[in-house]
Amino acid sequence: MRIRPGLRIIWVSSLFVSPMPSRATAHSDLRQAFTELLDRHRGIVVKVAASYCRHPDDRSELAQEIAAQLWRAFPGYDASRSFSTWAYRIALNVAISDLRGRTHRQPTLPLDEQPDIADPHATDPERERQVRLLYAFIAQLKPLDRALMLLYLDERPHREIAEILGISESNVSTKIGRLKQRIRGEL
Amino acid sequence: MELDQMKLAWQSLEQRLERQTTLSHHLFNEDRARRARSTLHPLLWGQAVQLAVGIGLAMFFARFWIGHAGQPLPMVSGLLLHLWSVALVVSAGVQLVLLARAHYAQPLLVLQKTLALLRRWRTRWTPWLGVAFWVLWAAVAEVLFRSASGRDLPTDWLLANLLIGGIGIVVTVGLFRWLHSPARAHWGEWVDRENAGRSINRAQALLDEIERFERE
Repeated sequence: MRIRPGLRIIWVSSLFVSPMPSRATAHSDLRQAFTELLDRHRGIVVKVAASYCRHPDDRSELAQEIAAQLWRAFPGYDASRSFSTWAYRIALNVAISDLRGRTHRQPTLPLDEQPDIADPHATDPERERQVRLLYAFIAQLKPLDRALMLLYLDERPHREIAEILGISESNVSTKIGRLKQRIRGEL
Repeated sequence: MELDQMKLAWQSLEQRLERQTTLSHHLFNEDRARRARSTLHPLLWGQAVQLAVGIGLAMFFARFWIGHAGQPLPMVSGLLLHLWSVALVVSAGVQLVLLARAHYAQPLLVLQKTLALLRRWRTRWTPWLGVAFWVLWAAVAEVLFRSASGRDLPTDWLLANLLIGGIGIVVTVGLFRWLHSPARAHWGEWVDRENAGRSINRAQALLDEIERFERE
């Protein structure tokens, strides 16, 4: 029997826990492994959802959908590979598909009307202005450029960005160079 | 804003988002995860059924027109319906291949291009399978009448219906174009949504956008 690397540890450990591992036990172990990983990488889901939805309700809805689709795809995850790369691919694909699939989007809110993003107790008005500018800049990018910007801001290595987007590393370098120029010009 | 400042701004935005998510809800919702399935699932089943129906019809109409070789009216009617059934099979086959290639865990450009191709196929080509029935229904009537009575439908009747069908096609195409003019874009979107997902222009725009992103 061939077992995917991602499931091998769970399967082997379940053999020690119980001589006849039930389907329910395996499922519960899988879920536990997933929730632990999701918890460790929740920032990916949250940031992607925030980058593709400006309305709090849409954002929350999208974050839940991304988590659900990650769980759905989790049995196919290869544990020998980076979880963050895999999670980013799914999260960005779900977000872009969701963005393109929605025809009647809720109107976007200005940043200062978003209690979860604007900080009412901000002590540094300059930083607040920068957050505002950055969020507005991200929002006006096209979906694929937005993905690149998000990965760049997250300081992901070029190799990982290339794997997530499906382009060459040299293409990533070129695009990031252009993005930096654009940021300098517009922000 | 300098790039370093921008990254600091991003970090503070990230912290706020993390705080908000932790306070408001858990990301992993048991009920939602149970219900999670690909939005393409119904399409997959629909196309599998279309493929099976198309193969059945293609075999039926092939036997019909081969059995009536030398008798112009039933042979042409059967042959047209056979070709339509083959088109139905090809359309379902193309969509199933594209659907089989679509997974969320794929690189962004690969999946988004596959979805855009699927959208373009569904908006550009599949509507013609329906439009063709303006004239093909006369062929269906001929095949059924011939099978039931062993006689052909009156030629005048068939010609009159072909003429009406031809006018129907022209009106349908004209109406479709009229609805998709910029002034009536919302009506066009509604028609597309009801019939084939998204508009041809939008599907093509997505493909162009992906191509531009790859090239630049």
